Amino acid sequence: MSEKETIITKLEKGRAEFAYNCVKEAIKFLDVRKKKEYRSYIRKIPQMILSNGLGQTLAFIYSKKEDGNAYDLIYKQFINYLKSDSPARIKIPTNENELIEWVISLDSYNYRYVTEELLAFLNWLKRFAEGMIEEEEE
Amino acid sequence: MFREKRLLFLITETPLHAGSGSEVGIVDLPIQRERYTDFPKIESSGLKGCIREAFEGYRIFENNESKLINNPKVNELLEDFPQLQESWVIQQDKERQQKTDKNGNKLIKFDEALYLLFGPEDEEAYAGAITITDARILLFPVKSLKGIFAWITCPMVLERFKKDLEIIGVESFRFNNFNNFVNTLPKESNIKISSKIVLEEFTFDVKEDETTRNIAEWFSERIFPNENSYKFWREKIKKDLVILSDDDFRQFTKTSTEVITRTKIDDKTGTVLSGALWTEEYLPQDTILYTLIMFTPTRVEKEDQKGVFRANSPQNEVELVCKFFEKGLPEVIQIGGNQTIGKGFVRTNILRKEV
Repeated sequence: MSEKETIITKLEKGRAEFAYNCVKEAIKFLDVRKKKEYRSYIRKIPQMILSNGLGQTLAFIYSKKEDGNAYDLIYKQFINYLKSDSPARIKIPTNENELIEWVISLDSYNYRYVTEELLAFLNWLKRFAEGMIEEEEE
Repeated sequence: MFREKRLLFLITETPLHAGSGSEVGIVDLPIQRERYTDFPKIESSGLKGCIREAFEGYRIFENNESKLINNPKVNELLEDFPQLQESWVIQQDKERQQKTDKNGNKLIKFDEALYLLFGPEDEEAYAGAITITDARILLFPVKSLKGIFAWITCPMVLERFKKDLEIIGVESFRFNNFNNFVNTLPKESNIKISSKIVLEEFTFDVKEDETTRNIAEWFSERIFPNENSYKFWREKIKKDLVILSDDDFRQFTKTSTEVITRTKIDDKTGTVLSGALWTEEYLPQDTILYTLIMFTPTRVEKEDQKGVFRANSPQNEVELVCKFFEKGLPEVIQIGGNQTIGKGFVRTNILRKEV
């Protein structure tokens, strides 16, 4: 069995596994406060994409990210995901490291595919983040 | 088996939440969708319940007795079925008894008609004389850069609609090969910017098409009630209908529904209760769906159980059942969740049979 086939037989083309590892990465590299932020941002982002569109949402994340904060990690994870083998219909070119720049240059069709792709990915991320990171006790 | 069939247009006048109850998606409380197309729908069981409830709204219980309210629709019904206010008396072991519901309220012939039409409330003795299918999507409103919004549809939806019209026996929808009309719209549309339209954030190259104009015209003459207050909408649909590809249509029905965030405020602190924040999905207002409604003769054995639908032949019986439904169906019914916050008002409009 080749590498490609095993990917396809995995749950949603390995999307679930990828998301699980992303949340593990967040737990490992972020401090307690940022972990909680990561959890709440991941919960908020799908909603933002639905109401404002992917471009606006990515621009927002882009404006909020600073070295080492949760938004920064999320932005990087989006790029890594789009470079992985999981996305079915669209991939970010391997030399492209600025997600927002690439997204705003896409035509309508591809823009829509990326939106769908990231929403599907976020769906897993959200579940794992909710399950693996403790909620804020206010 | 079915001897009378009607197509009922449903026009949402406020956002509608026919919930599916499951919550594994992005939205906590998503709406019902078809399994294999993801198109929004309304389950027939919920729809039937709402229609029944609307009919039940014509009567109140006063001093343990069922009474019809004074209302134009009720008066219309009474013209055709004058016995509706009489007591509902049943033969039991050679004795005549006043029929009561489980709370001891005395029932009238109107209640009997509802039992016969929708099925009995207290026992599963017989089935109703009506069959309602799931409501299917026909036109979906989407934000447009110009002209506020467009109604979108797609070849698959139109093919289905055509097939459903054939079931009903309506032949005037003489259009075919909808795949040839992808990305077309009627002439002089208000939503076009040179040769493009912009829906939400997506730009489409579109062409004007004569057939699409005729389709829009067909809808415009039939979907909305023939009242002056709908003149604006009839005109709008003539111009601002767009046929998109199946995939584009599905995409919009998935990502352009109304999603609202709700919270519950703690009375003491005046801030959000912990954990009380959730999202709900709604079909936007001005969505147009349709459902097929079919009538059979009543499903009771004895002639004297047929109440106001008693007739000299099964065919005449069906006609009476159908007439009762058509006359009595309220112009506006409420479907789905959150009725107390004004959601789910739906305008009903029965497509009359055409030759």
